Amino acid sequence: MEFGPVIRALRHHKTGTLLAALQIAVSLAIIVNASFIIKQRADKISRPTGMDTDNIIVVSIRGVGENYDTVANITADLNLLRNLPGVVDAAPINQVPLSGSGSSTGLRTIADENVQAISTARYQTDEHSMNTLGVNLIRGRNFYPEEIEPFIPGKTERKTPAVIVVTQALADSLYPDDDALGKPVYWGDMSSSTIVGIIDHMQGSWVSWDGLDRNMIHPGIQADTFVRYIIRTEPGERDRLLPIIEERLTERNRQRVLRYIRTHEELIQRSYELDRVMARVLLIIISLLIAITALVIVGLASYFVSQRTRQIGTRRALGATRADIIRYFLLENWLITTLGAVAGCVLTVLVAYWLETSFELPRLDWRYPVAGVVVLWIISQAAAWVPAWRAAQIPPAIATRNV
Amino acid sequence: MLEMRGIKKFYRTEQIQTRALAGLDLSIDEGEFVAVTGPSGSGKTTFLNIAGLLETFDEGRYLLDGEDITHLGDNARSVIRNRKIGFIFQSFNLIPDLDLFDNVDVPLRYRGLSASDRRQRIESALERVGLASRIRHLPSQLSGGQQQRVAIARALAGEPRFLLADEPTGNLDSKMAEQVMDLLQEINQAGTTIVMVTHDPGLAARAGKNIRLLDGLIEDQQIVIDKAVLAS
Ligand SMILES: Nc1ncnc2c1ncn2[C@@H]1O[C@H](COP(=O)(O)OP(=O)(O)OP(=O)(O)O)[C@@H](O)[C@H]1O
Ligand SMILES: [Mg+2]
Repeated sequence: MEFGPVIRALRHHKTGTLLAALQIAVSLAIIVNASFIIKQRADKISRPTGMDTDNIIVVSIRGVGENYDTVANITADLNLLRNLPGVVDAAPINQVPLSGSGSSTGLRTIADENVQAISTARYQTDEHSMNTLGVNLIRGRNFYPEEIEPFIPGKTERKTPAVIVVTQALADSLYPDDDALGKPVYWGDMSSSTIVGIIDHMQGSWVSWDGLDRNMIHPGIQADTFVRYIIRTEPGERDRLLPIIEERLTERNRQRVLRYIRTHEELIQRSYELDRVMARVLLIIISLLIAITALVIVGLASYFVSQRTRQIGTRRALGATRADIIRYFLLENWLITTLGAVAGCVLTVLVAYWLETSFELPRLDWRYPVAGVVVLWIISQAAAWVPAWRAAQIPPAIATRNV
Repeated sequence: MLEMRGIKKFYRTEQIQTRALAGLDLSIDEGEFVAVTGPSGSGKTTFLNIAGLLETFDEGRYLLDGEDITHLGDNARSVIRNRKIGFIFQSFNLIPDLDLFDNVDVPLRYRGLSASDRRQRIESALERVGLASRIRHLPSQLSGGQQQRVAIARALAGEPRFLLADEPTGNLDSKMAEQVMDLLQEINQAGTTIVMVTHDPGLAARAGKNIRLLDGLIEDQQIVIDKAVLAS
């Protein structure tokens, strides 16, 4: 095709060409990096949780009154819940994974304060918890019922559990070169527990924490006036059971407040709310930039066409077919877009580097700018098509009309 | 080589219909130099547009080079314009963003000629109109007469059988007009058929044949007898 003359002709329209190219470059840099961030967020949201989150209900209850018997109430509640038709299992738990709220601690493999502790979220619960969460115990054992002791704040001593179950990720952090099963871990006060079981995967409380996969389950029931239960239902039974559970728990003892009853899914969604908003805002920005880019291209191409009416007629008179005219404007547009895209790739990498260093984003995947350029090519060619087609309708007889 | 029979052309606008050509009969032979004259609005440009396949007509039959082009489609017409016809316009119609080389190159590229062939044609065409030294100049850097010579070079480079010119000297002063006319005559003598619309009786007299249009019809047709022949 006629690259040479198209480029040489464009050199006489530097301002419009460079402005459009600049617009394309900036758009490319923003669109590519924003897409990459959206992908990061989407990946983050869709990480496997290791739990049966679709069928879990979370309840929080607060007992009131002077002589509210926490242990008796928990026992009765769990009894009620576990015997409800449609419920797979239920367990008391101090914190709910993926809820944004949790407890953490540091564990060591050597009883020495100078050794860096490995931080982990911890969940105090009973032997029903793994079945309730739907996590997969790959090695070792669950807790025995006799290992579950209630802890009543202010009344009983806080005791270090003899046994704990950890996630594979925590096991690997604690004992990178060894099998963690059966090994001791030391708490902050240097008391120790033994790892008796390993869960293959389970996410913890804070979705933005890089230790999300490091979790420990230790036996015990936090028998406070505040209690949380997790309840796992048969698949598809969750929404039907939710109001029933609410009603039954309320009815069982009116001496307390049901603080909330929610699906686990809802809690998880709240935890990712910021990520979702971010992704949505970026998506809007991308859409706007694409629309603006298309408009700029339509505008510039239309301007070029209207400015060259006579020239187009002359070209037609000299033998250009309609297709030749369309091709000319599409080629011109492609050149401007590609000029912008080349500058845009440089800008994209600079922005990506800045994001990487300032916001600890992962390194930009090279396929994103490539895809961005392809998308811009398609959009700009589509946008230029209408003015190009209009140009092709200019009759050759324009050439002899004297103005 | 050009034969028109009963060509009619109407321009329809919302209110009125103008009859630009009223059933034109005409034939032009290979190698002729025809000057078309007539008052403004008599249909000269319309005739030239139809002859040059820039416009279609409503009635009649048109044979160019023995080929009936009456019902040809848009693409086929483009190809004929490109290969057989050279155009020279009153306002030159050079592409302002392109230098002389690229301007002359325009019709050659549409013909799909090789780069070396094109280069050779461009250089020799510009040589012929005496502008080879200005090959990388822009049209705006040339005088009107020079620009028209570039347009002639552009028309010549494709070696057309048939050169159509609508008032080629209309925007030029008389001295430049004479130069352009000299060039056209030279081209005609080399074998190219030329049809030129002009208002200038002096220039028309230099053509071999004069056709006078009036209201879309040929009012008068005469062969200009070479003065040299008369004198002898
Ligand atoms: N595109 C058009 N639309 C409507 N009417 C037109 C058009 N072109 C020409 N005409 C009309 O057709 C008639 C012939 O016009 P044409 O341009 O052929 O005349 P002309 O002999 O070239 O005149 P001039 O010497 O002024 O250039 C005129 O009445 C003109 O107004
Ligand atoms: Mg005219």
